[in-house]
Amino acid sequence: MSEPTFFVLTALVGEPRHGYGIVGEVDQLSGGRVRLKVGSLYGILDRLVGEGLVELDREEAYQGRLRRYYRITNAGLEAVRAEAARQAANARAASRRLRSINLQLGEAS
Amino acid sequence: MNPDLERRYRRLLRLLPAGYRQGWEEDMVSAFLHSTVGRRIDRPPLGERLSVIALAVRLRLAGQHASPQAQVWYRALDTFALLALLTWALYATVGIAAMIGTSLWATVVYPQAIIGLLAVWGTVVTGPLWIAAFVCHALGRLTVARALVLVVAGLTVAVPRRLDQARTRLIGGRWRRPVTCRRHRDGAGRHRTCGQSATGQSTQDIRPAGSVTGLPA
Repeated sequence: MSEPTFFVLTALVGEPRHGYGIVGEVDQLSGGRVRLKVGSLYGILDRLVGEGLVELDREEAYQGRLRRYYRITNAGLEAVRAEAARQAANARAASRRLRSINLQLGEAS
Repeated sequence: MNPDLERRYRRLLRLLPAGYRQGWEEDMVSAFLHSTVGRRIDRPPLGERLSVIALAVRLRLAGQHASPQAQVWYRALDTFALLALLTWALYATVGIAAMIGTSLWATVVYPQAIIGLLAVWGTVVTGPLWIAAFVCHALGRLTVARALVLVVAGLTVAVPRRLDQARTRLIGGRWRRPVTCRRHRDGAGRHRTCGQSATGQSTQDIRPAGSVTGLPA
């Protein structure tokens, strides 16, 4: 799962959001590293809806336009859990390796 | 809301397949216009335009909205890329095996064969990258495969030039001091240029033809 896809799914955990709301939430979650363009967001959303990980929640009128809200499905939640566990395991492995190198350096000095 | 901006963004969205636009256009326009609130722009920024173009290319070539003909073309291109990478990977594997099997042996027996080793060194540098690019493509890691192909293509251009220079130095056997040509007056008051003996004979052992620095061509 790519980083933008992971953040889009994570942005929808907890509450449904509209397109621009997802862009803002992803920006915040990633600490400003991932700034989605609208074209990129809807490419991801189209794929996630097709895979059954995200679905339409409701439509609301906003300034004379219909605004769609999207929510994450149970399969989407499961996908976020699995990806978060994978990333956490990677981070733990890297941290263990770094600690062991720090210990070796400490012993050497 | 800026009506010109909306009109231009909708015109940009015409790049997307009609089926996709039907489902997503209004929402995309709404999200885009929302993102421009407080910004004084009258046309979509470059980043937004590029993201729509990239989406259009992907959808038209590989997405469910692509025409059957486009899907056939995409599959054909994908198969061709896979076969091309496979060919390069096999070529690289054979090259590496040949280099290890023969050049190293020859180098032990005949130290001069180091020149031959340099000649195949390009395969050793780029070969594993071709193999890795093929494996990544076959596993569906297309972004990594594309990046590797770019790197290996750059090395293919850059490495032989460096090797040629190194080989030239080895074949030459020793460094020669660069010679600068300058007109000077000899003891008899005649004008001469360096690289020319008093008898007018060319001294090509000092400065061979075609060489700028005095190194052998």
